Amino acid sequence: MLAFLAASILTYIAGAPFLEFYATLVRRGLGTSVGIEVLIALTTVLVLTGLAACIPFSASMWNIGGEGQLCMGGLAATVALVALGTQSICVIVLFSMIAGGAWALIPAILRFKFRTNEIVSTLLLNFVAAYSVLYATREPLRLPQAMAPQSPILPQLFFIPGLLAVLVASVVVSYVLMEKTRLGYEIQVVGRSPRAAAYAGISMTYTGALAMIIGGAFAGLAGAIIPTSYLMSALMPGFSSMYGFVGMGVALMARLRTVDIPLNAFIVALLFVTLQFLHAGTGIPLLLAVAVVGLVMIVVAVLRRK
Amino acid sequence: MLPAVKVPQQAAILRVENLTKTFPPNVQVLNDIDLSLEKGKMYALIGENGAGKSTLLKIAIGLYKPSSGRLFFKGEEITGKSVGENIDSGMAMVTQGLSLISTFDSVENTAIQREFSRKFVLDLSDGGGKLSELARRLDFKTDFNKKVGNLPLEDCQKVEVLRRLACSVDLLMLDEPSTMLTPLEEEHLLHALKNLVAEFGLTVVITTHKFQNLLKYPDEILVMRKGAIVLRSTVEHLSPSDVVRAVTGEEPRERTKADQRVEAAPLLELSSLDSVDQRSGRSLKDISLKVHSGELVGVVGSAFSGKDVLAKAVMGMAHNTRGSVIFDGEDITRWKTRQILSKGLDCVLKDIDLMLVPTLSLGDNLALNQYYEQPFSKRFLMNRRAIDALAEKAVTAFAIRTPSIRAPVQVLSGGNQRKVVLARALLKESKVVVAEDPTIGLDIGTSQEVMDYLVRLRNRGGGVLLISEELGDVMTYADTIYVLYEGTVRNVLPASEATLEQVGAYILGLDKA
Repeated sequence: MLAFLAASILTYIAGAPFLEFYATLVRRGLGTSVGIEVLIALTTVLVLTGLAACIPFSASMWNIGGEGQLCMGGLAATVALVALGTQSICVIVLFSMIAGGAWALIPAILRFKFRTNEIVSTLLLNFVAAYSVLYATREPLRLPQAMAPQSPILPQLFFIPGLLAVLVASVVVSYVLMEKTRLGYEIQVVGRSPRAAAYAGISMTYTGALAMIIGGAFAGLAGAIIPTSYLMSALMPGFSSMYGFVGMGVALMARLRTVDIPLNAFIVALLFVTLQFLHAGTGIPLLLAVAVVGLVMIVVAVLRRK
Repeated sequence: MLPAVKVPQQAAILRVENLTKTFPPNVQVLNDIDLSLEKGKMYALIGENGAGKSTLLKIAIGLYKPSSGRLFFKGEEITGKSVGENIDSGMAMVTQGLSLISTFDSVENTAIQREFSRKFVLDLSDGGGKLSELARRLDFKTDFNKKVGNLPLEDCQKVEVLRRLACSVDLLMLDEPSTMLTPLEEEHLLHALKNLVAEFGLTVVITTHKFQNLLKYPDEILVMRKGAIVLRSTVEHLSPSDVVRAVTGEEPRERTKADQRVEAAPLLELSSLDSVDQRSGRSLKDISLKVHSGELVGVVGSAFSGKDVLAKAVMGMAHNTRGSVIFDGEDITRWKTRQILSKGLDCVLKDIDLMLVPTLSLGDNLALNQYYEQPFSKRFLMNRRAIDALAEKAVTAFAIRTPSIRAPVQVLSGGNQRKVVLARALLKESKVVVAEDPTIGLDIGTSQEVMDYLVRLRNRGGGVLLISEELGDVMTYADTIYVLYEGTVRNVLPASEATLEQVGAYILGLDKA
């Protein structure tokens, strides 16, 4: 497991002085309060999007729509906060999870009623969701005085305790779901052997759809957390910046095992944070961060294949 | 350890010294083997699944490297040489499971071998001619210009053998070549190989776990058990029971028949059933069949008889268009599989993809037919302990060999996987079990075990519907025999009146032997 940490360091070499990486990691990433806050928030988000990919993947439902589900979740949360004026975390959580779940239900229905490939439908719905956010922040939810489209400033609802609570709760719930419940068992059977599932009488449509909805709900929650925590202060177009896809990477690094997701999410988050600080400090391009993380994911996935 | 035959080193075409092979973590498959094979002979290598026969051949050809020991081919050491090098020196192997390219035709499949095409260019000139000549000589009739993917499986097997023979081969090894062939074709193959051995001094080694035909053709028989060679002899002195004893390490068992306790009302009754299997397109027409309590019904038929639809039709996996299936008093014709399972009718199907989830554990698979019932799940939660207990029970009661209870089912051998499916049907107290080719690919010992379990179910008053290719099994164990021909029931006869020749004739659609 630690072998990959070494790999991650190696891959980064394309830029700043070597030690600077570690220094920044420790000093800024873990050393400052800002660093830690962002780290925890980002980890939580990635755990959620990781689960959003992992659970449907286990049912052989290839949910590439984490981004979109996240957007719709964020949108729903913003609507609740701005238009409806609630401040309660519970409502926000509920709204965002329902929105995300519903957004994931669409490709599920398309798949089972019209045999549309869910990879395509989830992917394309991402764009629809992103544009919905764009529209929303330009018109109905717009903050008038801002130059770029964005929603009014949203209150910060998620502080460290809240984030940790969400993180732990989501992992625990997922673990229990997959390992201990009937639905989890059915998801695994359907995902690994659809033909044997027929023998057992497990409905592919029903189970697959449920897996998608659950995944979408997690992504939706992530979308709610992003603008209401340390990461951002309002809903903006492009607020997601790939968290959904990175989450997929996390899920694959964890080999679709729920218990491995938090650690992997943390590691990826750490890399991102460190590289962001490095960028600020030494001018290394930010896109490098994305490339490095991607490379790390590939290396890890290869090293960990059974 | 090895009696009788010793071969002088010079005449040996293949020699193996102290060969040991261990697979990680610590599974020892070959145990210090010494072997010398003489040129120009036909050898039969017999043994149960897992005895080490395939591994031995694969090491010989270079697919695996030995953990220790040395190998010599034609007098020269070949330990550690690659497959390519060994093929170039005159070895060839026909593997278990086909390795032909389905989008190529037979000529192209021959031409892609090393002998004919080096580098990247496919040289079609020689292959075709050699193929046809060989086919003529061996009396095989196939269309060599058809894409292999479109050829029936038996023809594919033949092409596999032929294309190896088309190369300059001194030692030909065949790993389970008869799995896809009918007994008649297996005879043809062995006969042809014997001729080649006599004419060209070719050395042939065949592995198999069936041995009916093998006592006729080979020069010598070698029996392997648990990684060692336990018997080596020429054929004259051997009786079938000697071989069985060597292979299983046990006495061959007496096969018993139960008393005829057939009750009035049948447990399972099919009446004028029409059914179609949407996947394969095959169908059944007007099938009427009864299985009574305490009865083992055997169903036989040729490949086109539609018997592969029967199990699916009963279990709710095919489209039943007319007629009815009545189980224990209820009409289950349109029922879904899960409903049928919960009524006490279970199955062991030939197509293992329908029966097991390979990456899930033994316990998880065993629960597949009853996970929604107590005690395995209560409301939404699965009772893992109950599942583990079930797995333990299955392993003990059915002697399933597995590295651990939690291991995924795909690491088990084919025979043990089948036992898992059987265990699942029997542990659930099923009243009737539909067994489709339950002993396919199994060695003698395991086959007997499997059939024993089915017989015990019958003896307890249950019913068994045995649909099988193995005429021997059916003749030995069935109380009543149905013969299917072209989709319908052609003949029904009680086992007491059935002879092998008679049933064989019925299968072919004839009225008399």
